[in-house]
Amino acid sequence: MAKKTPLLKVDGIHKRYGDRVALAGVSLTVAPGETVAVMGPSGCGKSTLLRCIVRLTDWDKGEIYFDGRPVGPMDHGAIRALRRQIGFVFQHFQLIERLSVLDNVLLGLVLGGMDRRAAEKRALAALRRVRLEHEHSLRPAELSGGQRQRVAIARALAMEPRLMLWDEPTAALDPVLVGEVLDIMEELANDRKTGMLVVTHEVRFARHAADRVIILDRGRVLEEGPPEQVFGNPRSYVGRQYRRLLVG
Amino acid sequence: MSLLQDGFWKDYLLAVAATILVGALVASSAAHGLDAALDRAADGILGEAGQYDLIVHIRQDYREAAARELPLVLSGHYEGVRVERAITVAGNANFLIDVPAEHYRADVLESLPSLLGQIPGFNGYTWLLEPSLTVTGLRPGVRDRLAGEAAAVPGVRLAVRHGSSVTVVLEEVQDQSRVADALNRLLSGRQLVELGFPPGEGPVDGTEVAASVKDAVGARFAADVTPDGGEDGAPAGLDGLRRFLESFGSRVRIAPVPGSEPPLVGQRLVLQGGSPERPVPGKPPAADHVIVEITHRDGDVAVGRIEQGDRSEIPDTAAATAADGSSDGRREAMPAYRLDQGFVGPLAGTAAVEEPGWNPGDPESGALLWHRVGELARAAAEAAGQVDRWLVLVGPADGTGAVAGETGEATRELAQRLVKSLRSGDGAGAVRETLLTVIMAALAQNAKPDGDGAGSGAPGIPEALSPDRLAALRDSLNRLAEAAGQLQGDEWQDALRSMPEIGALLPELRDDELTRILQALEEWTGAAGGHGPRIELWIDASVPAEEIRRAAEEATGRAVTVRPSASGVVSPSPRSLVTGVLDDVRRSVAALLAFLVAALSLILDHAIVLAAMRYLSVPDTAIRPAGAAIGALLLGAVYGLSGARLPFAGHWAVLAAGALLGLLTAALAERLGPVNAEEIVAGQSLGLSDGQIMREIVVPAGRPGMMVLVNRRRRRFR
Ligand SMILES: Nc1ncnc2c1ncn2[C@@H]1O[C@H](COP(=O)(O)OP(=O)(O)O)[C@@H](O)[C@H]1O
Ligand SMILES: [Mg+2]
Repeated sequence: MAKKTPLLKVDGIHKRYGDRVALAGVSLTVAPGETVAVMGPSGCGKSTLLRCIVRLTDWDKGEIYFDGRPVGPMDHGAIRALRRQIGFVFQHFQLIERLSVLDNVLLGLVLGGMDRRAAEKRALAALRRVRLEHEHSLRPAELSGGQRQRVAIARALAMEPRLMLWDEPTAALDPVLVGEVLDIMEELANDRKTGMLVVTHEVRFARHAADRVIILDRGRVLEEGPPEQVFGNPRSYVGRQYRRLLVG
Repeated sequence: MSLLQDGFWKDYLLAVAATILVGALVASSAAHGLDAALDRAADGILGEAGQYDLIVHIRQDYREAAARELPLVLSGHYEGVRVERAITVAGNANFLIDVPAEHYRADVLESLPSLLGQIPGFNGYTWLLEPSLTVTGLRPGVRDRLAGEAAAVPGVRLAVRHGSSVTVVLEEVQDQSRVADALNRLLSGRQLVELGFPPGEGPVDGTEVAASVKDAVGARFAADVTPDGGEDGAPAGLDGLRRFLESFGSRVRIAPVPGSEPPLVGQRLVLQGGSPERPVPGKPPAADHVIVEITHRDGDVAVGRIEQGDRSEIPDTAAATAADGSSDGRREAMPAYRLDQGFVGPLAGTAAVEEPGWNPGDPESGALLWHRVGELARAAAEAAGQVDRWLVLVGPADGTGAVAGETGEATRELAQRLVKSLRSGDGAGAVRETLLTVIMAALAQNAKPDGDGAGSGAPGIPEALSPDRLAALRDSLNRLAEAAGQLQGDEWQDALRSMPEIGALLPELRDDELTRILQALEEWTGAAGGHGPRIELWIDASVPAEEIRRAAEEATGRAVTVRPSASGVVSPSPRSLVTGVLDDVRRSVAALLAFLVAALSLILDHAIVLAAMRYLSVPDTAIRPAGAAIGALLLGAVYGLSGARLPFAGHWAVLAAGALLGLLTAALAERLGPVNAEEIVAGQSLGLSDGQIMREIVVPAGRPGMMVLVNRRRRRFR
């Protein structure tokens, strides 16, 4: 099969904060509809990598391509257009507390220029997808952590992004609530409509839902491959740690 | 900067503009509200602007009598004149006088003060003519001419002369600055030039001199404004004062040692005085010796005045044989030594001290002098009313606010100041001040415990000038003025005798103090001796004095001395002064409110914007300068628009203060206006612009302020 242009290509990205190296030449690709899990110990640069992709953070060296276009040289307008195509789900949900569930989902659509009624349709569809259509008029404060994260997912989904970046979406959740979020993530992965770059410690999710697993340590890619390879025959110490989690 | 997108920045500017307008409105209207309240308070004291025309001051104990007499006297002359009682201040009951429209003429108004003289307890008056301007410091001739010219200025209703001033009553308050400008132009365009001619060459025709000088120098305007005292001229008033004061001084008559010439004019003699030590030839005189300056000759006898010491320091050795044989009015005779270059010299003769007191010289000049006394007393009465202000002016340099220490020292200092003010040219003011100096010294003297000479136990002058004393002083001066105005021929001598309190007031001055004042006056008027004719010219200010002198010399063929001075000073009416103070208060209040508005706006509106900037695509280094700029803009504009003014702060200081406030806000932005960084990042991740983030996420979560209000219109999510 002919090698298609990857949806996302990260090419040798370096980023340091003062003396501290966050990324030391990370390269990776995500194909359209592909789900890639990024794993690695805390502080290894996972969040920084995701933020760089949508230019929430600027990097020092290397380049990132979205749909073949370099992200680095983009101006404000192009960056905003880029962000509308890339959904971002944060560890701490980051909902606008003042706005209702529906308005949170509507925000990006309406301010992106969409007609209000069409936007509402889409927003409600996205909320249905995360099974929260009945909670649309509540405020975030009235929701559980899992529900909030599902609103955040709906907010990203409603934009119909081509790529979704997930930054430990279940890490802040009560263990009993993790499942409802993971279920939705798996559904999305299985749909294969959206490329997904998922930073997670959920080994099971990575094993079942990811096409590929990338292990990051100290700003470098340690290991990369299909989950069976990475978890079945890990070459790195970090990889073996995850495998133990899976087996144990 | 992407803040400019989506019109948020426009709204931001709108909010700033609205803050400025509303803030300025609030600041100025609150200040005006206060102003109005204060104004009402002022009206309670002065009556409404234009309601009354004159305040008459009456000694408190005569209040009831005056309340009966005033309406009778005034309406007897001018029907319809209304009299209202006002508050009593500092021992003075005040009555407000309203002159009806049909009598509202300059001649009527000018005649009122003379009617007031008959009112029991009359203690002066203050014009309340409104709206008005007062031109002060005018020589009599200039005053009369100016009154005529001012009355012709458009917008001027009438011009009233009083003392050395002209009060110009306006048609409308709005005309005030225009008329003030016109009067100022008129006054500053002309100078008063005093021409002095040598004595003994006959009179000079002022009108002729003025005409020839005008032609010779090509002046647009030149007029003879020599006052009616005639050629006695400008310093004549001062000279009259000098003679008047001189009459209080002790005269020391020196009979020469038989066979020798009497001492010359200007020679100083040393007397033992109250000192236990006789003057010893070859030694310097002691501080308690009496020093006499010879001022003139009277036949064989030299007459002098006491320059150091006082007649009271000469022990009363009973009527020792006086040189001219009479003991009437003379107390004693004692040896007088010459004073040569600071040392006691040979015996010059025997000295006899003439009893001081009212002794105004020869009868024919007495009447004229008496007339002057009236004028001076009137001026002094006016001046006494201003003692407080004057005391502040002459207050000691050490800033303690009290003239402490030796009275003699204080008097000397006063005399020095007097000479200065005389030289600076305000003749009329100087006369007033001179008399005031005398009065004050006298009062200080009066307040002294008995027998204590110029001792350090003397009370300060301010103590001596209690309101009661001032009131009493003013009262007697006014009565003196009144009496002088009514007397004719040589009735003055009788009147004099009937006014012992005046005599009792002034002779308390030490002789040496009096002499110093006289010397100061002489320094101004030229010499102790007589002087030639003097005329006053009012002429274009642009003509140099030297040219005038040359032209006058050519015209008269005599040597001429010239002394130019300013024409006069325009000042606002008393109410304008009060209004001016109120205006200052209003402006200071407006300034404080402007600060408040700026600080509030910075905290409520701008702190959050500045805090959010950190997360937006604004360079971090731009945040503090932005804060400083917005602070300076807010404070500067509200301050400027509200009409605020602080006496100690110029425009730059206000802008700097605003910038400082803004800088402070920027530095404390995150604490003053907490923003939720996670929400901002979420907005960014959705592709929102900075403006959209500000409008929909940051500002709505902020404190309720102008920004929230303005932003609400265009916000999409509520
Ligand atoms: N804004 C920042 N300023 C300074 N250092 C940072 C910042 N963000 C991340 N880092 C540092 O960069 C490294 C990588 O951080 P991060 O990408 O958040 O790690 P991870 O998400 O893998 O835990 C860490 O050492 C972290 O301390
Ligand atoms: Mg992280």
